[in-house]
Amino acid sequence: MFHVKHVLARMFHVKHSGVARGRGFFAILLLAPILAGCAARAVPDGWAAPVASGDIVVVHTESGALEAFRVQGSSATSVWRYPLSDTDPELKAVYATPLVMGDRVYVADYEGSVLALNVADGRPVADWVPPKADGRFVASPVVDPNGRMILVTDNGDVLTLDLATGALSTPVARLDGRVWSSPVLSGETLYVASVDRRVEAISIPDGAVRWEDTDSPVAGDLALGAGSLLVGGFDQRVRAFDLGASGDERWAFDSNTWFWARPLVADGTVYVVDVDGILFALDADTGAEQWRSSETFGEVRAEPALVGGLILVASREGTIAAYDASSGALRWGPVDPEQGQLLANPLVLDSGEVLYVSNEGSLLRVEPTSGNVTVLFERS
Amino acid sequence: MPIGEIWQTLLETPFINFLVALSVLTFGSYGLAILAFTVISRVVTFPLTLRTLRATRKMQEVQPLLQEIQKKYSDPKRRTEETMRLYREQGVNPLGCLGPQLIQFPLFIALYQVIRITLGGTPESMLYLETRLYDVNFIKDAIPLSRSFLGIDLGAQGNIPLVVIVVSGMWLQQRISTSRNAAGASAQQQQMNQTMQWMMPLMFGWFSFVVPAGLALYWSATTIIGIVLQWIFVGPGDFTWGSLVPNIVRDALGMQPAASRPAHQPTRSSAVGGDISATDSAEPSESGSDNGTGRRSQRSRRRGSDRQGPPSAGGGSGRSRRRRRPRG
Repeated sequence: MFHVKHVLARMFHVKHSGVARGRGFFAILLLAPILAGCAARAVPDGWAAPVASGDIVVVHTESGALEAFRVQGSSATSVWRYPLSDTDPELKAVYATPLVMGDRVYVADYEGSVLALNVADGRPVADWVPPKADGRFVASPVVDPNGRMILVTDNGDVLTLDLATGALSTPVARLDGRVWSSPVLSGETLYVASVDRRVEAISIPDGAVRWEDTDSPVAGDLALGAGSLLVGGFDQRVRAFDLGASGDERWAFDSNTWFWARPLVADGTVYVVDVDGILFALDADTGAEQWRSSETFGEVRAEPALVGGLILVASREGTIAAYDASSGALRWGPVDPEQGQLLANPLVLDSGEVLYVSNEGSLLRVEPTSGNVTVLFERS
Repeated sequence: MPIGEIWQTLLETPFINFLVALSVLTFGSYGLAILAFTVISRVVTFPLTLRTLRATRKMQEVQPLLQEIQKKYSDPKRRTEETMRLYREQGVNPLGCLGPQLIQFPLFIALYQVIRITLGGTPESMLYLETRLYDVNFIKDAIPLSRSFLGIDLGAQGNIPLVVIVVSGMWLQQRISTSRNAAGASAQQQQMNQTMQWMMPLMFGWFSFVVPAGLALYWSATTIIGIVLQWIFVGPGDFTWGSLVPNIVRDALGMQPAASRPAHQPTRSSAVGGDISATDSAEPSESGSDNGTGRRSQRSRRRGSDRQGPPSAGGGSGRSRRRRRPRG
């Protein structure tokens, strides 16, 4: 490659013509986009889960765009879109699940901005100047008992945001490594994990670290259940930490690949899917395996959904399958609506139906018992 | 099997796993793994690199004879015939450099892809990385790779020190290779060489600026290795480190002006069989299209000749003749 000049120079040596010179420059021009294309960074798309406010569902339809739908039965009517004009504050890719509080929806994006929109019409909240953090938001925010939003940037800064004014605090704590995992809050303790092998329990009032663990690289969202903090990591383990002051490890379950999907806890059982798509049911107290699914249908990032005794699992390949929650037997699927990858966490509606958003921006409605999948919205 | 799948299965995926395994062997340092990977890839492609360097040198040696053909024959058809005859007689394959380059090109592209993928810059790319890892525990456990190396965030863009290394390294490489054939080149060629000498480093410098620093590190390392290989197997030509000092600085320091580039002369062996006078090529170009560069070159050559004495019949000084003697 570094001898391209010789090749081009030879063209000039052999033919001293303007045409040959033009060829040389043309070759360089051709080479430039090829190399640029080869070396280009991966473009972040985002995988924010849909959120509901009454009968309105807010969906991240594409990088930097939101759309709200009124979902009624098997139809969805578009209510608003964001942005509407160039003057609207810019929104980038969204990974963090938007937060609905009252009549507002707060959206933290990959560029570190936090937007506040009115749920009813999607317009930016008046007098809200989108605060900008020194980092990106991948982890979903949580709300503390004082009504403040707690956000963690991908460079580990733990921040608080005043939901009324939009004032962003200086970091109250800082975690080493990239944080892509959504934290959880229990009382005044925030549990945060990083890709770079760190799990910490942080006291929110003073930012003190109550305990830390440096064994597991974690990208998946954390979960609380049965008195434990549940963490799935790239070290191919699901671990349960005691919520007490010491943060002792209660148990660990080994698999053969990474865990990225958030564990789901119900009735003393932890349901967790590894990246290869194997669904496990573990005893929440001991971590003992109760059963595992025998069929897999692709890689899994989205958390499973538990509805009516069924565990729904969606895959990166875009398929959806349902397993019996008590035995792990496949009840239906895989169904492939051919709408792209399903990486975002699902939204379980009060009606028991489950909504998925694909990376192509399609909104899917799944009827758990029958396995019927309806495409409510398809981005043109 | 689609070509994309073949590409991934045979090139990208093995390279990804190899790089991850290397990071384990290099004490978990991804930067060291990239450097080791660069060295290994240069060693593996060394036979191709050597062929390229040899073909380059051979082409440079016949440049004066090509110049004579250009001057002697105005008919394009006859010129082409004579050129091809010269190539045949001298055993030069004009595409000798191009073949190995074409073979190496996919390897280089794969390497770029591998570094980009293993960096896992976005959550999507990290998830994608999992699908490319072999089902081997020590490889899967090695993720995430350490992104910090000598204070450099290998996943961040716009690392200025690495850009400087790439630009200056490539400039030096171009300068060394250009110096060999500059004197035998026409004004047009010299102008082209001058343009290339700046354009290529700047272009690659820009690439290094916009890509993650891990790629720029790879580029820096491979450029430095390229310079070393060129120096060892082709030689520095008439390049001297002193020539890097600009004349304006020399004047200020009261130093002699920079040594000019001596006229490139073919060795006796390279002239054998040719029906062109080798010594003719040492004469300054009489082309009417000569420009400032050409005139500067002529003046420089005269100054150089004054200091070094008249060129020998074989062309150039004995020093430059020895340097150009074919190896192997």
